[in-house]
Amino acid sequence: MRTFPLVARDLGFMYQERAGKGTGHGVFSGVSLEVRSGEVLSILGPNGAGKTTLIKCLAGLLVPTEGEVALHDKPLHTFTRREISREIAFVPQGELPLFPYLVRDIVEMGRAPFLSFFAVPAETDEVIALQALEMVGIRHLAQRECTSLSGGEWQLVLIARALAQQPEILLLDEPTAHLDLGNQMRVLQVIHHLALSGLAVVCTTHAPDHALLLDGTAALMDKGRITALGKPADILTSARLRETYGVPVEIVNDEEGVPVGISHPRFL
Amino acid sequence: MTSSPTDTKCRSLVRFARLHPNVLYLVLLIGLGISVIIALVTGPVLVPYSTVFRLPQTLIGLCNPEGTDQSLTIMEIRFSRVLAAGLVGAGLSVSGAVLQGLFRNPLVSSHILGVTPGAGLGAACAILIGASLPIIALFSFIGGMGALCLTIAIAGTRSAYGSIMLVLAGIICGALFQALTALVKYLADPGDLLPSIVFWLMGSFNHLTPAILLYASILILLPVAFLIAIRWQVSLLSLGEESVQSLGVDLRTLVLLILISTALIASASVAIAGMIGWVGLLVPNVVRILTGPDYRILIPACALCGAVYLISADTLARSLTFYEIPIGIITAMIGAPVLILLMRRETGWWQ
Repeated sequence: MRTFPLVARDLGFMYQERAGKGTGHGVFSGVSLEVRSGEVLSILGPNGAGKTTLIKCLAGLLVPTEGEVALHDKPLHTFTRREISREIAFVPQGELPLFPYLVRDIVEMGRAPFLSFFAVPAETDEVIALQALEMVGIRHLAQRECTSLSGGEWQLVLIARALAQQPEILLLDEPTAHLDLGNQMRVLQVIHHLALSGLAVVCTTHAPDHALLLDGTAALMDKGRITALGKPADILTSARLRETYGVPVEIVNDEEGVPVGISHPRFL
Repeated sequence: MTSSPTDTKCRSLVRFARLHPNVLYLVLLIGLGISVIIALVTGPVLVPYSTVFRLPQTLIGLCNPEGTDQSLTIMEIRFSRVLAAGLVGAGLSVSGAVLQGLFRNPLVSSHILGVTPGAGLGAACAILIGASLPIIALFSFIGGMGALCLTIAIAGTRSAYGSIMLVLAGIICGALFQALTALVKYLADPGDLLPSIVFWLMGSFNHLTPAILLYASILILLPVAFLIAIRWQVSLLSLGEESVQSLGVDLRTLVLLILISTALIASASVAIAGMIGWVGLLVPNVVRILTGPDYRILIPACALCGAVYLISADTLARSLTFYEIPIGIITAMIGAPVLILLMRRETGWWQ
């Protein structure tokens, strides 16, 4: 029996209007989603569709102006930030390491939701941090300085830090952005594996083929609305992608007729 | 980036400090002891080394020597200076380190929030009206804390975290207070008041009274102890704002507590010793090479190193020439070249 730990109902977000600058600017509205344990929900859409704002609303970092997010059937705003951080882990986009912390120290910071204001991580926290590194397959990097890592390795460190929070829900904002093909696939593999282990995963992405790879559910966003929601193989049709992205792309199927990727006609 | 042999040596040092912080603290404590003893026996009047060992008994009042022991009296005076220098050095270094983490910028110190210029203005005003030493200290403390309030008010409560707004507001306040200080100097009688103001602003441990020392010690020690206690929370601030919040940290409260603590330290420091620059900027950047960026080790190490540094700088200020050199000049003269060395070593620093 699968459950929906995180549910969004009629969610809308509008940046507050500034004095004398006309009406507020709507980012998205009427978004309803259910996040399922043990599977990946991919949020797809062109630039400016509202993907990042949506995932921040789901993470409780932004407060939606319409509708509500429910965590375990209770409104998200009734939880304290600390309570949320024990259930929902968020991996932001484009965070760069500033000081050369060791990888294990960065991952240990994921234990913050469980430590008091005056505490420093104990041995048990260290063990949990190392287990998190093990889960994403980079245990060997524990003693490395995070400023010496490649982009793909750093992304995996951030995912490990999120796992050290021992969350039920993992939110990732464009985890494959700025990575080369090999690192993209490695990160996607880890995300897929984490979903199989029972986590509810939400991840925004620019690449429709990533949604196809991750399977689960996909939500296609365009101009602040969800235009399609369902199995990636069902909803990601050539016609719909053309309409959303405004380019003549085709869905490519494998021998059994399962969609596996996209292609663009040759430029003339 | 290629790593030179010195880099590798520093790496292994960092690793050692990370694994055995207590050994590092012990070494620094021994260094502190040595710098205190040197400071006690150095000065225009020569005193025998043996007096150093009689000092602790006198201080806790175990034996009450007849008032004729001149060397002991001199050493007691020197000891209060050493205490003040140690406290101010530790405080400024810790607050510099913490603010650098908060603003995610290694070039920040308590100057950036306008606190030090505000405290300087307070002191200058008090000297202008011919106030006594305790009143000068009080004014400068009020000036510093007032500057923090003004900075936060200008930045607005919404942008609580390490934002550009806070830095900009701090720079604006600092510039304003410096202009007002210049005005006070202009108004001051060039015969006696102007030199006093100028000397105060250069920094010195020359104008201590027991009462000032007592209150300032409390106002520096409490926030330093608090910052040491929350050192891991300070570490978290090195992450991005969204990460910190998604880890369940109440960012606004944490930032406010840090701002108040560092402002207390800076204001109390100016109140006892005038404006001493470069400590909060230099010490954390040097210590970071020894300990790495981990605030769990960096903050206690900064407290110890800062104390050693300012005690030694004060010893130099007292003994280099026949007249005492203002300590602010000494710290700037040491700070500038060392920072240049750091810049050349850490190639990625200003790029």
